[in-house]
Amino acid sequence: MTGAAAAGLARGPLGASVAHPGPGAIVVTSSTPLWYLTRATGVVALVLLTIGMALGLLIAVRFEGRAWPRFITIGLHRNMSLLALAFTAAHVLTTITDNFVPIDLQDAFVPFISPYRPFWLGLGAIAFDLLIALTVTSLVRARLGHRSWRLVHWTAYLCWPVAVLHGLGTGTDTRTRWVLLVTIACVAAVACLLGWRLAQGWPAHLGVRVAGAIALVAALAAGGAWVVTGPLRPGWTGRLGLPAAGPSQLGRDTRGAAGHPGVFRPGHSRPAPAAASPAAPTRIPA
Amino acid sequence: MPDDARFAAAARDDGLRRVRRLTFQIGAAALACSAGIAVAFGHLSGASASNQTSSGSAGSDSTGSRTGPAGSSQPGSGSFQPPAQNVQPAAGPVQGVSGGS
Repeated sequence: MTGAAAAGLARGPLGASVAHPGPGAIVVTSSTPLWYLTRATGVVALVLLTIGMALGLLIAVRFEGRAWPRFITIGLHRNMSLLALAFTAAHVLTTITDNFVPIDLQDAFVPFISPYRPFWLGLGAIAFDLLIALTVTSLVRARLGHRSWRLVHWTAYLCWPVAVLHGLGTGTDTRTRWVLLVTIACVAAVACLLGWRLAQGWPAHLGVRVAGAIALVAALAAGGAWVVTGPLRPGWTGRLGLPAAGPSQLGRDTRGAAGHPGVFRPGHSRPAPAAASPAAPTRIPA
Repeated sequence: MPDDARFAAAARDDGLRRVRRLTFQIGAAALACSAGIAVAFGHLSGASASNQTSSGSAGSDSTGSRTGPAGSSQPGSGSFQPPAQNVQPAAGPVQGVSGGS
């Protein structure tokens, strides 16, 4: 029997060693409902954000029909944006509540400070901040003035693609086929409506419209190439600049005696020193 | 009130009702989808873990199972990996090891 086997260590799903928990041992697991809820609310929030974006573009092209007056589009755009914000808030809340990954409240608002996938999580923080700004300025639009509101509202064109990049780049579900299909459908819908917007808007500025169309096609091509060569390739999540969280950084979870699995978060007070946990695993050399 | 104004007010009320109804339906669908997708992710991860355990092969992150915060998807990186599901307790006290056989 090898030492690893004797110590209750086994091969994890990715070929690395994990500890079999004895009394008081550390357990690292992925089977928490909050983690699944985080990913689910993220997908739904993206869909709702896309619907809100699409309705906003329909308002911009002044779409209306006999059975679909324009104020219905405006009302739905407002409500869908609020729903998207609510689901994004749920996405953030479940992420910071689920204590497997070291993501704190400030990581959700301040970009690029998270130790966990800092760049791609930072994009999510930017999209969340922009979404809050868009919603708040829309709620106080009457006091803000149309010009200022419009200026802030233009950042919706930044918020949505940044949110899409966050979803794709974080990479947890990018290679899941139906999630990828949902993302492609969202991008296709917004791209079509943006094309319509460019075709209809600014009739006196042909140059702006042509430049916008070229930028749209270039962004789609670049984004497609990046997805194929990046997040869809195996091992993408291993190249995300994650912290070197070896077992020395792991600690007992603080969520009560039930021993809910978790990891030590850098920056948090370490709940159980190694000496107090005889079952704490040490680093397994490659 | 003139007929035109009455008709316009009725049309507006009807439109607002449609907005409320559609918002409620989409919100309810979004809630149901969130719950359904979360359950689906749970099943996917469980099934993936079972397959990987039985086959003994290295997995990928395409199933959505968590690969951990350690940035250690590459096998042999020497860092800690989370299992896809809870592992059974080992009999007897567990000791940490550092390599060796």
